Order: sequence, then structure tokens, then C-alpha cells
Amino acid sequence: MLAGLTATLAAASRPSEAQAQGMGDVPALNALLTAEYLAIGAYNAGAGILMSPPMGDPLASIAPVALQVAAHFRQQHQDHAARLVTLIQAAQGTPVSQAAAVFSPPGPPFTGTVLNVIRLAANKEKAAAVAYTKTHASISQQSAAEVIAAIGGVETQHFIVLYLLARGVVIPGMALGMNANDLVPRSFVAEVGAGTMGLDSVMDFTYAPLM
Amino acid sequence: MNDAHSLSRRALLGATAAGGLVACGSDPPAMTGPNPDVMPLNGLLTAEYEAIKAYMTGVGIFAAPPMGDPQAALSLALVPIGTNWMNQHRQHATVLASTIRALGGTPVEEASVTFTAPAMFTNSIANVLKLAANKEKAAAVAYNRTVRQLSSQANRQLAANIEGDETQHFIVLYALLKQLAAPNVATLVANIGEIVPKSFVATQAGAMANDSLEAQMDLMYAMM
Repeated sequence: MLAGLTATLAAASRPSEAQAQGMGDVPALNALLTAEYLAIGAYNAGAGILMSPPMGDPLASIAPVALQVAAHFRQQHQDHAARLVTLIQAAQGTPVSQAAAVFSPPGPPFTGTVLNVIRLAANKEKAAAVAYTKTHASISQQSAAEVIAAIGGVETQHFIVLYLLARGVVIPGMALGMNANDLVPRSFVAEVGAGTMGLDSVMDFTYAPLM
Repeated sequence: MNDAHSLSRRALLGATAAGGLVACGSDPPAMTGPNPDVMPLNGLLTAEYEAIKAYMTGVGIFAAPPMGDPQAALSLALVPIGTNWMNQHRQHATVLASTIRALGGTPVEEASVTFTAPAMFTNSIANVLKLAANKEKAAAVAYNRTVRQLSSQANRQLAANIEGDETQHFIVLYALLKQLAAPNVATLVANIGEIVPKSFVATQAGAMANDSLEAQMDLMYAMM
């Protein structure tokens, strides 16, 4: 009987298959968390340039609104990091520390101009979007995969907005200065847990007849 | 009804039905029934075919806007942009269909999918842009919800890979409609192809190797 009890206790102490899958996801989730902390560091560095662009910067006039957008995107990356931390802890993992993720600006020919900051942000957001997509191959828990997709789809939004601005295809609109937080309106594509509002909470546009 | 709910529900019902078939059978799940990912993937394929038909309708309105449409001047740019995005949805549909076949399933027939303009919609360029924004948002949310329903990592990656394109379509339209961004008229026509430049986020099996953001060169830095 004692042998049976010992066996039962030993079995109970082993993680279930679902728990093992969750723990197996932790390294990949921590890699994404590191990327989020690096993104926050990059936006902090970029903000320094946007607050005080160099003399003669041809895009100095848009630096203030670019700074508002940068602050908004940075907050969204903080929201992503917070959700990943929750996910990692739920999988019995230890989240990487933010202090360990140090952003280093690229070397030459990068110089601190408004346009280079926008280009840098676009490149980093593209890389993040690709990383999030490819991480699915390493994630076993379907619930974790849903969170990763909800975040990856925001990095793509960040990317295309910055890319089009950097390419000069679009310019800041007249409403941007008052509504910078509406540019990429949600930190997640879909609601994936408490405090994570998604695009499904954004009202549809309504149609109107021609006047 | 919010488009996000109807599209998402269609995909989820597909996944739930597949799961139910597997769970209720007396034989081991691996031996009978279709791959459980087939139904949710077909839900997404249906959404892609609907998007293609919606863009066909929209491009038609762009090409011949109604008399007095205040945005008629944008027609020159909107026709090729709408056509490019329609082609991107076509790429999504192609990969989804081939994935479904590879799983032993039967892709939904494009001819069986119809697009009906929503209530209160009238033909104008602004309304087409709004419709496209609403549909792309709904698609992005539907893809996200479907990721959780898919049993294979490869299929979840495929869904996320396409979702990232729908989100780009959405935010470009959203930003323009909310006047958060404005087209730079001087450069727009020369850069039509850059407005959501690729069909996928990461390189995707079954699609052209360079049709992904992953294959796209970084923007270069320059001295002032």
C-alpha cells in the first residue's frame, strides 16, 4: 500500500502534459518579452532625438507629433510586455528582467535625425512582427498562441504606419496631434485576457449617403 | 451586426463542430473524421473569398464614382491600391486552399461565397473605404480567434501570417478615414505598391518567396 501511495504522490508531483507544454513555451515567450523590452528602450532613445532634433533637421516640424506617436507605441509595447509576463508566470516560468534587455542604437550611417528615428522604428517593428509570426512554430499552448497573434498583429500596424511615413507616402493628418493615441487604437488585435482590449472593441465606421 | 462577430463566429463554429465530431465518435480520434483544422481554415477561406468579392465591388466604385463624389480625385490611386489588396487576399486564399487540401479536406468553392453590401451602404468612395476598414478589422479579429482553435503549430503560424496583413490593411484605412494620416499627393502614385507591400508577414510555404515582410529590405539610414 505504501508503494502505491508513493507512486501516486510521485505522479501527482510530475507536471501534467498541458503544464509541460506550457513550460516548454517559456523560452520562446521570454525571447518575445526581451524583444518588447528592447522596443521600449528603442522608443525611449528615439524620444530623446524627437524632443530635440538636430539643427537644420528637415523634419523638425513633425517632431512633436512624432513624439506623441512614439509615446503611444511605447505604451503599447509595455502592455505587450505585461501580458507576456503574465503568460510566462502562468506557465510556471520566470520572466526575463527588463534591466537585462539593453537597447543599443545602430552604428553609422545611423545619425540622430527625425527621419532616421522613424526608419529605425519601422525596421524594428517589422523585425518584431516577423519574430512573433515565426514564434508560432515553437509554441505548444493554443491559448499562448492566441496572445502572440494578438500582439504580432499590432507590431504589423506599427510597422506599416511608420514605413509609409518614412517613405513619404503619407504625412501626419490634421487630426493626429489631438488623437495620437488613436493611431493603432488598441494594444491587441483581439481581447486576450483581463485588461487587454482588442480591435473587436473599436466601433465600425458608419455609412453615409452622398450629400 | 458587428462584422467581427459574424466572421469570428463562422470560424469558431467550424472549429467547434470539428472538435465535436472527434469527441463524440467511439473510434480513436486519429482514425476517423477530417483533420480538425479543416473547418476553421475553411471559415477563413470563406472570409478571403468574401473579401475578394468586396474589393471587386469597391474597385468598381473607385473606377467610376457617382456624380458629385467629393473624393473622386483619389480614384487614380485607389483603383490600383484596391486591386493590389484584392490580389493579396487572393494569395491568402490560395495558400489556405492548398493547406486544406494537404490536410485531406475540401476547400470551400469560391463560387459558393457571395458578398452583399451591408444595410445603409450607398455607393461612394468614402463608404467603400469605410466598408473595407470594417471588413479588414473583422478579418483580423477572426484570424486571431481562429489561431486558438487550430491544432497544428504550422496552421496557427499560417493564420497569424495572414492576420498580420489584414491588420495592415485595416490601420491604413483607419488612419486615413480618421484623418490621422493623409496621402502625400506628390509621391503617392509612384509608391502605390508600398501601401501594404507584401501579402504575408513571414516567408510562407506555397507563396512567392519574396512576398513577405521578412524578405523586404530594411529602410536605410542616411545623414541629414
